[in-house]
Amino acid sequence: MKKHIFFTLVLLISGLARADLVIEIDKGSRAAIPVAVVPFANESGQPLAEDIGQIVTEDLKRSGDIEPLDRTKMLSIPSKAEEIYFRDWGLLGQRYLLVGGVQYDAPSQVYKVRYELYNVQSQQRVIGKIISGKSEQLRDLGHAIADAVYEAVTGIRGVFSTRIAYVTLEKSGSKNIYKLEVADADGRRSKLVYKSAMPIISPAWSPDGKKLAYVSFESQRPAIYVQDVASGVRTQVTSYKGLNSAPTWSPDGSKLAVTLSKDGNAELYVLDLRNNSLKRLTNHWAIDTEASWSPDGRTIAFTSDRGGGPQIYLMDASGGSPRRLTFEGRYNSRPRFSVDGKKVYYVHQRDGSFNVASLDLESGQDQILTQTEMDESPSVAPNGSMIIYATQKNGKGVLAVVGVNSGSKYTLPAQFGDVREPAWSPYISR
Amino acid sequence: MDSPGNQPKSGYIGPALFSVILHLGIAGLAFLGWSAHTPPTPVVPHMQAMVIDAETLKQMTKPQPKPAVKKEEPKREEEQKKQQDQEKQRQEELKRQEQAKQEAERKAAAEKKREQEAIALKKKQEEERKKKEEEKRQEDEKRKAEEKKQAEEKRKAEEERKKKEAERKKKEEEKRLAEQKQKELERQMKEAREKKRQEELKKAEELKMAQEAAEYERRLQEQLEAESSAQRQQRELTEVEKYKALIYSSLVQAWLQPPGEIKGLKAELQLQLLPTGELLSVKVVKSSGNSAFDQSAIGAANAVRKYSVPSDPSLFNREFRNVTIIFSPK
Repeated sequence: MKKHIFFTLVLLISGLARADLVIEIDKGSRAAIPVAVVPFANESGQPLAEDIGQIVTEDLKRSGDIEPLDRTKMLSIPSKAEEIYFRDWGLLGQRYLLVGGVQYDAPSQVYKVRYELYNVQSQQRVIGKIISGKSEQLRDLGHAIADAVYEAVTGIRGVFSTRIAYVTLEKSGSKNIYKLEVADADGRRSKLVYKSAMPIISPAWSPDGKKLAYVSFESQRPAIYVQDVASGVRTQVTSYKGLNSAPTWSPDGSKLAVTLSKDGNAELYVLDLRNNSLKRLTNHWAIDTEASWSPDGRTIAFTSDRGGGPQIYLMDASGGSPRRLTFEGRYNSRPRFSVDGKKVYYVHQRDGSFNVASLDLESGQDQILTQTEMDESPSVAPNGSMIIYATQKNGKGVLAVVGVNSGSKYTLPAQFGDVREPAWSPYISR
Repeated sequence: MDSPGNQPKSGYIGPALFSVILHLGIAGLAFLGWSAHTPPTPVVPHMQAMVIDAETLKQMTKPQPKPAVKKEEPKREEEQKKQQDQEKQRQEELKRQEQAKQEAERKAAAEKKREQEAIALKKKQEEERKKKEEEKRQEDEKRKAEEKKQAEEKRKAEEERKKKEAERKKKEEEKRLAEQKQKELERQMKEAREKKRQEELKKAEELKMAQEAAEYERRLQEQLEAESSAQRQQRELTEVEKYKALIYSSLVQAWLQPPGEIKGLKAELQLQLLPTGELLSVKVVKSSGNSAFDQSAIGAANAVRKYSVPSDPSLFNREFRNVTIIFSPK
């Protein structure tokens, strides 16, 4: 009788315990996610001008958030679902597997690229699509696939199809040639936008990714121009006496924040492009320059030496009294808002070297992101995951990229002469 | 061919006939002489009938006695003389006949001899010819036999060669088949060995698991016997906490968080585990709304090779068969 009661109790307790055991996982690794990008099968019947799998691999690798598997470690080269042994890829520690193939439609001269991303563990297809383009668009297709994979794996939109603008300086004899160029985000396929014997500085992309604002000294003194990248059509927007510099676009693309010294001192102004009206923002004896609009367009960060040395300040976009943001070190300049508006990236000097740093606006916590010596001109990728900046390598300016989350870095191929002032484009709608 | 005896027979006919005619002629003449006493009558028809051949006629006409009518005396004398002549003539004739006969006989003998010689020669020649033919035939036969023998030998040699070739081919085929068989055998043996090895491994694994289970069961029984129900509950609670902590730490290690801002995201997964600690299934019960985040959680749940679960079957069934995992980064 006693035993019976005991068992009943046990059963009752068990019944109550039927609710699943719950375990909460509140942390994990922020390491790069392993993704195997299998070389794409060439089903086109002819040699391909580009190795699409390689383009995807390099794009993903540069992000720092994804660690593509070395091709030499692959046990098999599947190109479709039925050829995949998920166990193998699991044993290689892969979380995702990208397979695909390239076909060619001769009459239309169009390549069709099929890609499929699998979750290795669950063996489920995460994404799969067929995209197409002509021979000269194979790189675009590769970047598009990298974008899709990056987004599927990280939840963040990829920026591999975006572009970068930069200025190069070539010295031939006593003559200088300045070139404003635009290239793919990986530095390939560069195209000339504007060329001059006089300096070109501070290129800035319009929010729609179609125009570039920059400063050119072609008329012996600085003037600000806006140029349509596709058509090449240029418009001079300011040519005031003295300094005309550091243009940046308002998020809606209707205004430019510029630095002018027409009133005797370098001050911030807002130029309304719709009516060419000019509004003065700062009024101080010190230099105020290098404005950056917050993503919501309500705040402007800028550099000012009103505190005795260059520091970052914040002010209302409609004017008002600035608030000093940086206090660490004697030199902080060239601010750029993060995409989410929660951080500001800038150049920070410490121990004689200039590096890109970030400052969390809420907590005030700063962090140095780069370690090379002469890092300057940070520009944030439109997804906020990477920052491109100019640095020095072997006495020449080169472009480098740092992963905001991963801290991974890479240098763009130094196919250019002396490179400086990079500007990462917004997403470009095709 | 004429028989050799025919010729001499016909050879006799001539002389015999001649002798008969001669006698008849003589008798005729005698008759004529006597008829002269008879009145003269024309006798021409008789004469005419007497002529047989030219030779006989000549002989008969030559000594034609003149029919003369003489005095008796002379007539007899003449008669006698005539008779003597006739006798003489007959004797001569006989003699001549005898000579002719002898001559004929001699001739016949010579002829016969000649014929016999010819026959002998012919026979000899015939024999010679036959002999030669025989020799030739024998020679031919010999030659033919020789040729036949050679042909036979050649045929035999060819047969021998063919036989050898066939044997060689057969041997090669046999060798090839044997090699193939050997290879197949080796492969089968290898497979069998591998299969056996796998089976042994499996068996060993099963045995180990059975032993472990038995060991655990034994210990459990010991514990059950040793402890009170209250103690047991306390122990189980501790066990649950222990295994929860172990699962937590393996998932924290396995979870590769997506980059970017994930604070505030929350995904709820339900895991079905096996007593071996293997994951039977995983499903997202509540999505975070961020696909990459959900995928990373699924990836983490799947990436744990073996979950730490209690080996007490009842405790496992109660607490660890179904586990809810909430991925919620701080």
